[in-house]
Amino acid sequence: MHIHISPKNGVPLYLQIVNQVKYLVASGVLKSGDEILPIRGLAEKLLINPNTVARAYRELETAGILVKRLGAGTYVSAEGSPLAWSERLKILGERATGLLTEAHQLGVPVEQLIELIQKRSQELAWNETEGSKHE
Amino acid sequence: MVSQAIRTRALRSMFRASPVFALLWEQWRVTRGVMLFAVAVTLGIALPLHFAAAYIRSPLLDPSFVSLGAYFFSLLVVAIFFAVDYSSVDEVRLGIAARQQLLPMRRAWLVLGHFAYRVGMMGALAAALGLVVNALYSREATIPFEDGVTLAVCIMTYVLAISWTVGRNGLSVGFVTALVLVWPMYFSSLYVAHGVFGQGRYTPPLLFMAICSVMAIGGALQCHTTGGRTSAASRFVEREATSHTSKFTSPEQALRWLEWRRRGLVFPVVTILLGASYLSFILIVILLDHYAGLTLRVSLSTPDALLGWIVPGAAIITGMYHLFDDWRRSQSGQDSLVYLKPIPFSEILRNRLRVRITSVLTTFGMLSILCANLFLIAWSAGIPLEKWPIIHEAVSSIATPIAGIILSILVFAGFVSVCWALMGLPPIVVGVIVLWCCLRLAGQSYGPSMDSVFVVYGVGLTVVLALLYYAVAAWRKRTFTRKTVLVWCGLSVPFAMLAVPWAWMIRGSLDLDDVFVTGSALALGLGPALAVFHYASWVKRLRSR
Amino acid sequence: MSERTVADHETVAEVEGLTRRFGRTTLALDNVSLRVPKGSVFGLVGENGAGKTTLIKHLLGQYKPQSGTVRVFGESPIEAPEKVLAGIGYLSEDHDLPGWMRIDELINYTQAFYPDWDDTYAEHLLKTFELQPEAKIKTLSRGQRAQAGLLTALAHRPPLLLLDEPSAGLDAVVRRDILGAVIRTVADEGRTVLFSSHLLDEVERVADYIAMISKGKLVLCDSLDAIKAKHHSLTLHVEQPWTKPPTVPGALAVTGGGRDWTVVTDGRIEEARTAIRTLGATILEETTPSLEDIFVARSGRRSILEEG
Repeated sequence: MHIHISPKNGVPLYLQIVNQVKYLVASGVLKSGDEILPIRGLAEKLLINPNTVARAYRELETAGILVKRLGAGTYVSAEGSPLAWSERLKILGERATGLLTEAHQLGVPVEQLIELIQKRSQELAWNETEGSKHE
Repeated sequence: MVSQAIRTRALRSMFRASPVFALLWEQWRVTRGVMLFAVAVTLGIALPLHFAAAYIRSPLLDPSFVSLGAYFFSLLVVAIFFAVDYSSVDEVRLGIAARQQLLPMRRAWLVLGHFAYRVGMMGALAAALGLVVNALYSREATIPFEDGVTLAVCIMTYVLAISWTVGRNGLSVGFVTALVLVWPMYFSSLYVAHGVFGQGRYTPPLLFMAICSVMAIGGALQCHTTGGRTSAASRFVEREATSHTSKFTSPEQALRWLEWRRRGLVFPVVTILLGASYLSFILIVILLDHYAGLTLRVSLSTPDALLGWIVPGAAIITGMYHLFDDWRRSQSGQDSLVYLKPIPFSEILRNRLRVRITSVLTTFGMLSILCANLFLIAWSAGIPLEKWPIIHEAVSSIATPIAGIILSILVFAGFVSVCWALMGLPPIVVGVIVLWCCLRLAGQSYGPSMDSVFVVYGVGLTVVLALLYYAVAAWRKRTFTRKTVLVWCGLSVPFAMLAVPWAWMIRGSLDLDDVFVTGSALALGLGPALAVFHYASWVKRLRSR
Repeated sequence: MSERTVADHETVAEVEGLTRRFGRTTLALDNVSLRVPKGSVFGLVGENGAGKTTLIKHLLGQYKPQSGTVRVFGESPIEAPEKVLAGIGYLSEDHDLPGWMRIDELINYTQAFYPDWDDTYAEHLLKTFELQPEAKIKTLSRGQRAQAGLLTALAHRPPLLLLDEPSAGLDAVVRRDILGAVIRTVADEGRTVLFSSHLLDEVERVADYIAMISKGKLVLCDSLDAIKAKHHSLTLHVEQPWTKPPTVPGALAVTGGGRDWTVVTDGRIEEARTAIRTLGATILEETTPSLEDIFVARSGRRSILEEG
């Protein structure tokens, strides 16, 4: 489980963990039934407050992505993947905002941006290959 | 690290060209600083003293003794530097720097080379210094040339024998034998018994040199073959030297340990201070007399007046020492170790006061005794005060203590810097050197047999100071048990039984103002005093076993 | 360990209306009030000379409050120092340990004062930090000195760990050790850490609560989440370049120039949004600022106010 924390970018740290775990589950790196690091272990690894990690895990539990088994650690829940579609869209939504902001600043209209995306997509022939391939 | 590697490489390439030259150069490179130091010491301290003594011509400051003392002092310092001039304790033991141990050469040759270089250089240095002294001081050659060189070589082999045999069993026994038998023989033959030994006056020193050489070389070689493995004696020394404190069971113990450990150097420091003060006092008087044409006469005729000088002087020096110590502590910021611990403030204060009172009293006591000697010597020497009108008036109009105080402050200001310079050495060594030197300077008024007293002084003071150090160290480390007292008594009682009658025999009388006698009395008394002071905890520890 | 909310209402340390002057002119602390909840990591941030060390020294009972009260574990550090200090592990800013002391001597000395001293833990820390027990403190590097100090502060497992600028002037490895110690300390049930620092990303990593001190005044004191939720960073774009910064209600700092501006606001985000729209600017992006941005914005406003 590889999580990278950056205190400088302003996003609350617990949210960074939540987002990244969601991303890892959505992208299939973490599969349902996988055990994830205990709170203390992750806190010491990332050098962040254990309370923050605990809070992130709580949020993930509420969202149904993680499930805690009493005295046996925390695992990725069985229904982790079905939920992932909306998460995928949400992650991309955040990226899209950034892209649009940049396009706006550079004075590129939205239509041309969409054209550019389609063109790039054809070049990469991404659609034909396995969709869940990454990293 | 890098420069070390480069030097090693440079040494190796030089070695390939010419092994002898390479070794010589390496030795010279390592020791040239020491040689420079010796020249500076002799020219800067010994010569002024020498000339001043010659100028004054007082019965106390006989130039031959002054110059001999200074000469001896600088040679001893150089010898010790030669012996310990390595970068680590292990290197001192092995006698050879780590860099040279890697050279493709037999160990025996390497050790021999080192030994020969050091002894040879020492002899050469003694010859050169003697030449300079004799050339400058032309009225009478005070240092017999060959005696100086012999003396220097003896010192060097003696010091190397100590440092290269530290803690090796068989050799230690040999060393003690040499110390007890040959050293007094040498001195008595050289200075006292010219007539008795006649033509054979160089036999004992040569014998001494031979024994020391064999011990030194043997020790270094043995250390190489056994890979520096040490004997029981050396483990004992190591254990004593490292402060493995038993675990503190109460905050009071810890606090008291901190207070003592912090001022643990009090005895060596006081010794150094006194030695230095004595030297500077004489120097000031002498130089004033010599250059300004002023003459000091301490117009003291009664022991009461003498006491008037001593008490305020000792009190002021004690006070200043403790103030200085406090200031040093405030600089080094150890207060968080005391004030941020969960103990009531009253407890801190109580422990601090207890330690402070004991150490102030001890400092004051030692200072008083040594000051008494100092002023007694000055008094008996009759150093004239009349030509220095201000002091003379002060002395005659106000009272003697004021002048004593002024002099004490002057002296104190002068020697603090010297002390800090000397603090780099092991304090016990400095103490021995300085006291030895002082006594050498001071003790001449007892006639020709004084020289054998000097031998007793040298050996005796070493023993007294070692005993003091042992007891204080044991106490500080809270290992002051029945064993300590037994060791103490086992060493000091036979020593006192031998030494005091000897001193009395030679001098014909036994004065309490004698540094040696008071010193050994102090040393003898301190052990039981310490035992009584710590009786309660000692008994408690015995019971808990 | 179990999960627990940081809003545990037990208080370890409490400062109420604390004011401290040095001499007549220097006001080191000005009416400071804060509460350190049990089991939290409390970060004290502020520029050099802001009064962080002075505040910590009040908690240790080294300074007597000139006005106001200080309570640690419900006791006054002045009246019951031994009770308070028994529960505190303290690492000072300059790691002032005597140079002549050896590390084993330091450990032996320190353990005498704490009945709860844990020998095995001390051994473990000694090994982790790779410290030689025989080494004298004067031969240690700055980092090793900090580690030795940290060891003596941690080994009695104090309920409150006080670290004064623990990372100042240290390399990354030792900083990691210190952060790790902080994390392990809070991970143990119920233990609290209060530390001051000027490395804000470090504070943001580990702190639950933040108190920001500037020139002796408490500028901000809240949980990190609340601070983050309250502050917003708005990126603006205008068609006609502005020559001077706009006045936005609740803005702590306005930076930028020409057509592009960034506004850091506290709280009243709706008001700010309306004001920006009425000024004719578009909000390109709305993000949570990092602690550093907030800190800079806060100190920025201060200086503007002083000029006005």
